[in-house]
Amino acid sequence: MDAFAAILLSGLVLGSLYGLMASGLSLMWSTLGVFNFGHGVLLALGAYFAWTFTEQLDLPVALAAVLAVVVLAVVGVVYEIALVRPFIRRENGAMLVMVATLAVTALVQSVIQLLWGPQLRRVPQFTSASVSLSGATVSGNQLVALVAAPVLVGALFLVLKRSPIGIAVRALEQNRDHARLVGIRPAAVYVFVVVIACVLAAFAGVLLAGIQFMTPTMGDDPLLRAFVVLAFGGTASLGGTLAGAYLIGLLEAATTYFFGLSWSPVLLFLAMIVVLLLRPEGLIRQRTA
Amino acid sequence: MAIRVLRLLLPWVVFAVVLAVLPGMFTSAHSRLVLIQALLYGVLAVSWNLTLGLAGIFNFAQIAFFGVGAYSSAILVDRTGMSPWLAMALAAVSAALSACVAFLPVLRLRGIYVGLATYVFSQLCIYLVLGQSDLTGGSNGIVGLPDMTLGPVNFYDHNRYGYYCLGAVLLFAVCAVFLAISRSRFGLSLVALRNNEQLAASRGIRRTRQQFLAFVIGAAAAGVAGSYNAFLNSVVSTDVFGFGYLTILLSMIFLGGRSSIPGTVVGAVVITVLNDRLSGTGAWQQVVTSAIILVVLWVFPEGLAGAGRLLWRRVAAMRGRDGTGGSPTDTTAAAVPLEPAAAHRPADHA
Repeated sequence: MDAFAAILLSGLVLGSLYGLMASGLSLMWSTLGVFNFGHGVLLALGAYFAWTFTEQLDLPVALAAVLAVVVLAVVGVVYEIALVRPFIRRENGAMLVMVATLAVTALVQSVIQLLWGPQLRRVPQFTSASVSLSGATVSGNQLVALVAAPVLVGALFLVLKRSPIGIAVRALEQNRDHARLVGIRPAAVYVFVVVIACVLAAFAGVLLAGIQFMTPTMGDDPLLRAFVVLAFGGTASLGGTLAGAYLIGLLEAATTYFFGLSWSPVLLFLAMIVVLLLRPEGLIRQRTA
Repeated sequence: MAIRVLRLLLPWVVFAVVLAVLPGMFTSAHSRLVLIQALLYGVLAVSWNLTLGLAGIFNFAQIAFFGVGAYSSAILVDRTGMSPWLAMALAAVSAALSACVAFLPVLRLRGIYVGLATYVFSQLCIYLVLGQSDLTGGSNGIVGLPDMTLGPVNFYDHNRYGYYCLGAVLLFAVCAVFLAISRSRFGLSLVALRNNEQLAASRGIRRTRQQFLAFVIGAAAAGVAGSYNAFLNSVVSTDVFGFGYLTILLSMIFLGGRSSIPGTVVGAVVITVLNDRLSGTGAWQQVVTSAIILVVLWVFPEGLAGAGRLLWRRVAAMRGRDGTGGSPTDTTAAAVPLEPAAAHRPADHA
């Protein structure tokens, strides 16, 4: 029973973090048609900015998180203009964008190393509260992650469903030419999408930086899992992506518990191969958000 | 006929002569090592170009095949004491086998999803190596591998002259195989699939089989390169899977120009020398390498080879006009049709 509770809780916490990452990736994939290999380093960048705001400017964590998210929103605009816009309409543009985001990952990781140095650091947790459930404890940021992930992704879902910009995003997803005919400007929508993805990644970064030590490569693992999530949940709907995230979180927690830390990623990859062979469009099939 | 054969062979003769002369010009231990590294990167970049450039498959697992080759030959030699030559051959086999595993999720995927699956595969190799530490040495790697020998000759002697020769042979062979493939029906079918999959499939080309073959051949070459790297440094560690190799190779391929052999080789030489100059600067090394990729993508997506082609076309246009050329409309007309001609004629890639 204790084991079950521990697996369930840690799986849900992991799933929340992966969900924050994967919904941004999924949104970029469905509108822009590219996978953002730089998503992990955006997460790290958010965490490092939050650290600067808390430790060097002595701001409270919540405020620092908001500021870090704002900074990353600005980074998102630059990201779109520098890495997506020049390539996306070219022949073979998807590959160029992917290579550009890979290159920027290496670039930003090195810049973080140069600016912030290699010391191990942490951002304070949002809250010191903790909840115990039959022997397993969830504390601080894990609690925040559990609540924030469904709330934020839900809010994003509503924005996509109801707001004018959200409707523009979905129109562009469904039919680019017709969307342009009714006056939607793809460039503006692309900026919006990349900014949303950056914001979610930054928030995940601030959360993660309170749970583990920060490194320039701290985003690599969550990014990898988020990729597997996309394969599982499909990219057709945010609901599917979030469900995939929890599924992967639980699967990872369970395999880590039973087979150990080193086998868990291998088993995840095997599961991904099987899913991609049987249902290339993802386990959860649905049409747009 | 004789002239055609000559035109085909001449660049290769020049290439072979250059490869043979270079070690005589660079005799110090350090410059020889830089030269060998350029050869190694060249082999790896050309082998990657088979999938990434010629076939247009979004393959991000090439570094993983390189690492698998390095580790499998190191483990074989370390555990069984077999000859490095045999281990090198087996490294090609094991890299090809791992390519089969990496290709499994690709069977029903298209384009960009392939990039996702192969990237995940290459990252997972690191976990596997770290996890199986009693076999792979975990984060310590495997050290103290023997040097390669041929009869009485140790490849390490005379500032690694033997390693240089082996690397030169490998590079020459990989380039020749690449050219042979790109001119064969197999290579043409890859290009056809890259340029128009539906049309190619309607003409009876089997996408899965052809791309699978390209994948496995490229992986086997990368495995040999990995094995070569292991014996050259007499060490393997998880660095071989790392981001450093990935960015360095991508910068070489894109600087040189995708699917161009001379471009890739020149790119390999330029980046290797640059990296050597920056080797004392820590993180700046990676900043510069990755910035090069971005700048090339922004300014000249076809790389050096594309720049060369453009220049050649402009010169040809000038000459064709017999001195009357050079009006503004002419130069723009020469600049516009940059990519399609190159993309559709594999013969141009040589």
